[in-house]
Amino acid sequence: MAIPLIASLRADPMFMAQVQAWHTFPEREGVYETLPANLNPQLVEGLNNRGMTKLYSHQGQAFNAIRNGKNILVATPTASGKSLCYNLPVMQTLLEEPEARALYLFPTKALSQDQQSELNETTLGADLGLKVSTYDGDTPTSLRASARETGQIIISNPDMFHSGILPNHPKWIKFLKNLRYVVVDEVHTYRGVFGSHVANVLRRLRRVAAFYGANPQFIACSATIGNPQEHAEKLLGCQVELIDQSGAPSGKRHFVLYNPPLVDRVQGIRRGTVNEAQALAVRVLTSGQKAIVFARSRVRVELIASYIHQQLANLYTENQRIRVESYRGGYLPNERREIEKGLREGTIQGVVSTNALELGIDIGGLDVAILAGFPGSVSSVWQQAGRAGRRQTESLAILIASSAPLDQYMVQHDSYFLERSPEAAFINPENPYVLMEHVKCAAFELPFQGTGGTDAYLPGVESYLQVLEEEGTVRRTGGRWYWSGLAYPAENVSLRSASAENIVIIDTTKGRNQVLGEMDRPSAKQMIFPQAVYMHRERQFMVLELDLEERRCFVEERLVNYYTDAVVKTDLKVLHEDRRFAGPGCSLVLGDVLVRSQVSRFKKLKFHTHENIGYGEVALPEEQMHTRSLTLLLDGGPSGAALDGLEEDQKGMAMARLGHLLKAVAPAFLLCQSQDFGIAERLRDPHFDGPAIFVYDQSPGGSGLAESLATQLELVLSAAADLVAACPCAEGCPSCVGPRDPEQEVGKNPKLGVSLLLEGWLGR
Amino acid sequence: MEDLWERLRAVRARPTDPHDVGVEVQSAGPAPPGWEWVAPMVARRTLIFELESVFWGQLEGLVDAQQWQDVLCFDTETTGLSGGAGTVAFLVGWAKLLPSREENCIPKVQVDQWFLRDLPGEPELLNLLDAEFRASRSLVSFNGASFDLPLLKTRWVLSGRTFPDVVHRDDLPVARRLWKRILSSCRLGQLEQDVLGVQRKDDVPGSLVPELWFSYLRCGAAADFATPLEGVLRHHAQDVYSLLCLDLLIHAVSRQPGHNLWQPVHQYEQRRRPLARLAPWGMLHPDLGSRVLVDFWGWLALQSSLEKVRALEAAWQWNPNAVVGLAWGQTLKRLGDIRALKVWEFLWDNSRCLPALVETLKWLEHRDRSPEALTKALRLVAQAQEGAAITQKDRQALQKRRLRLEKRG
Repeated sequence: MAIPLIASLRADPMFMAQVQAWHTFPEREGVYETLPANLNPQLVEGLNNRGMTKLYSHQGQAFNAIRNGKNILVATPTASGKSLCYNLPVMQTLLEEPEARALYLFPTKALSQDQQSELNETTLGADLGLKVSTYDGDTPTSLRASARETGQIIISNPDMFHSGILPNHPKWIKFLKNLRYVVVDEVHTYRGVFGSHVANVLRRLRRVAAFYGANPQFIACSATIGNPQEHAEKLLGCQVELIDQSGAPSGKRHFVLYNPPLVDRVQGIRRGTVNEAQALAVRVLTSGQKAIVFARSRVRVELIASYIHQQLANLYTENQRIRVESYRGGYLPNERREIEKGLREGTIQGVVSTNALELGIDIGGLDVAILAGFPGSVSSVWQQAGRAGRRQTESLAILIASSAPLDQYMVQHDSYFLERSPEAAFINPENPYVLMEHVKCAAFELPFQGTGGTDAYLPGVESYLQVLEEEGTVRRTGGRWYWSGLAYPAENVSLRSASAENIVIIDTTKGRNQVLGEMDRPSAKQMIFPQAVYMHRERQFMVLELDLEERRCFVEERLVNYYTDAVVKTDLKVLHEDRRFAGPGCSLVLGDVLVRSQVSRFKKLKFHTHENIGYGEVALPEEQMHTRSLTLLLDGGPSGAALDGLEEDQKGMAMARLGHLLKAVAPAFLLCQSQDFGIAERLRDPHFDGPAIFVYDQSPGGSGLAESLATQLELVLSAAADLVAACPCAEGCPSCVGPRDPEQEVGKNPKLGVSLLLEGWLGR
Repeated sequence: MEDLWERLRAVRARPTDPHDVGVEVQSAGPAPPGWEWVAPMVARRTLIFELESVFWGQLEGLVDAQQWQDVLCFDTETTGLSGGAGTVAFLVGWAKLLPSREENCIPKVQVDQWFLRDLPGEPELLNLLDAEFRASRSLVSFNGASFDLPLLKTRWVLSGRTFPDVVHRDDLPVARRLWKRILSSCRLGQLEQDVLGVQRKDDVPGSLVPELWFSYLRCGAAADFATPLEGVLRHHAQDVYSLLCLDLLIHAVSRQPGHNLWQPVHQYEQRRRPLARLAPWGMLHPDLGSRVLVDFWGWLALQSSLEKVRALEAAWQWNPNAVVGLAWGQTLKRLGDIRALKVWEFLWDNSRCLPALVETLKWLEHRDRSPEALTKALRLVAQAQEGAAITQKDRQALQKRRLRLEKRG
């Protein structure tokens, strides 16, 4: 079924003038299978009641593979009915053997909630009398014991499993003894250092389950990434059967790359994504279609949503009966549930969201997805675009480019973008820093057996145990390694680098004193400093006080015509040099650094025009991160000579571009993601008194990336040089040194400088 | 931050010995005085103490020693304070009452302690404890419901057995009811000092215990553990001894409402004076034989509904104050007992307690209704309006009542 909006957009010369590419994916017929012959009659009835008399081919395939005892990975597009792939076989087994147990792990609490309601309401769980329990940090103590004893399906997240369940596994004996299935959804989010931690949590899970005689089967689901099977096998530590041929039908899908019109031809400034997204969304909504807008920041989400509201506001037509909501992390859980429910049931026609709705929260099918700016990775684009799309009707996704060089490159080289496969996910469960933490946790859970300290689930950890023995945190006696530390190790190991601390935002208008929302601490300093304007679902608040000690922020409702934006200064300070040694063509320093960021003042920006109408001062303590860094010193040696060979005004640019290049290349060698480390380049570093490139770990305290880079730097550099040499682009592109920024680099080709630097450095 | 890579490299470079099993704990060696080896890595000792005659004398008649036979007041010392699968109980023990066969003889207290010398000996320790627990009548602990018992159950699970199904009673919640509002805290140490009158000398703080055991292990887990760990062993013995005394006292306080040994109070500025000297290693407290102060509401909550009337009456006799009186009057009123009037009048006459007056007036106006009662009521209202320091609101309420009474009269 076609939607008229698409034809009307196509016929609109103003719109089409800005369209850089319009790609159409043909509709796809569904591939079906009959319901499995041995399917429990109660399940058959339940499916029939929901109008399902057959399965999509991948659902049938998953059912059979699981029933045959295989571990599987389902990697099919968004909204292809992935959750039935695991719910059906799990429920079948639980009906056959009520003693059997299943564990569902989701990356976020929001997804767990969603899954529980899906199991209880939407699907069959409640009718079948299966006991589904969520067990996470929000579960009240009074419900925990009953969840442990009677929950047939436990829904949790890796963090809770790591710190709450595994260290207390004897309390879970009934559950673990009968554990048959472990469902790990959204495995693509478990990447980088976080993924490496989760992989070790799963190894500990298998180890403890084995102690109780259980050997659970794994069912994993993933969004589209470059290497789904390889990633899942590494994460789960076992072979998986890949199911990636979706049998779900889909309507015709349009993907449009839209470049907003130029407002200043000389400076190359284009209309902003906020206003463009708002105008497009209103057009979509008033034509009767449902839309989702993805914006890149929380502030932009609130801005776009409020602009849409203002556009639609009309007392006499009740805003044309169109309801639009904003959605982001930091809203209270029931606010989020209410929005999700409204979207599923169709009472909300439009939603503006951060990437919080990118994950598999069920919000039903929408007609149009508008991406206000490139979300940072190709797989995110497809995830977000996939939110628009129904089984029968046409759907449309529009990516609006911002003025940033990366976005501009993407829209201007549409084939680069469309042909590029989604990013691969890298993890390194053997990262010594990560592994060491989990060896401690594992020793606490069960003593390591055998003289060699070998363990079927955590192989090759003898040297780790020996280091711990020297420290006195494990004791080897009688051929076993016992935990002998005072602390509860899992308490001190956080799987995510971001701290779990959050600030509660309290509305004090007219003495209300009600909790409005929450925010993580580093963001709070940048977004809810005193006098900031805090926007929350169309309402504006002024921040009165930010109490970092007590983790509270007091706000008051106030109507102003501007919003605020913090000016953040970041700098890096060398704390300690552990080791200075010769690297490939340069000197290397491994040591501790302090990365500091401080909000010193803020801008007031007028709504709609976004012009700057004033500044304010902020007096907040700086945010500090003490971490590990590998510093490349380009003084003397081939690297220094190569840098000196460049023209003076090219040096800084070549160093900066080299940083971009390292960010693109290093993850494949360090088995992490590019967000896991930061790079700072300085042509004249005050500490080292010369040109230096800092590669520092984004996990506080370090997660071994700097050490790992020190051993692999030569490979990384030569891969970088190969990449630049082989890249067909003329002046740099996102895959190599980064797209050329016409504003900053007038008349220069950044690619050339980097090639010269690298070739000289490596002596090619 | 140390360079983990370097340390791993150094460890890996060392030659490995496939026969190395780690620290070998030397075969037992002579047990420290008073202790015996009951398994290669488990030692046990039994201590017998006299129960303080003053203490027992006061409990006598309230506690039946036969009922305490085979009741184990137990406590554990562990390798960590937050629980979890890696926390081991290395010292387990209990105190129990030894009733004497002869009449009028003070029962003795037996303290048993089981000590684990090194981690591999744990299965044997659990084996021995399992038999002891199964033979006992019930277990009593202090905060055991949330700490010691889950921890022991975890150890039993990890060694592949199920914890014996023995009745368990946790004295912490009861102690909280009786003393939370009187004392600054309800830790065992606090109760010991302020209720039982024990003054410990050179006691090892509980938080240091795990570290002391680990440092004993690191120093080679010598056969003579009693010297380095003397403080820990003594601390533990005192804990279980005090727990037994506390359990006896709680039993007496809660089951014997009419006894004149304890005084339910609602005003806590009076400092509690300890009852008796109970410490095997403690100092004699100079102030023996006084009453035990317990929280009035907490104490009342422990009474069964049948005992409540008797308990309140006794409390009123000891301490005729407004809180007790109003509660007692309310109970009498519900029973239709005219003594209620006496209680309220007493409160009004002696402490100008306005709620008591209101109750009196209600009774006179609505229950008695005789002309004399109405006259008396009017007189009381007038008295209150003249003299008592009362709020405007109360004054208005009294005025309304007065008008109503006058109409009737």
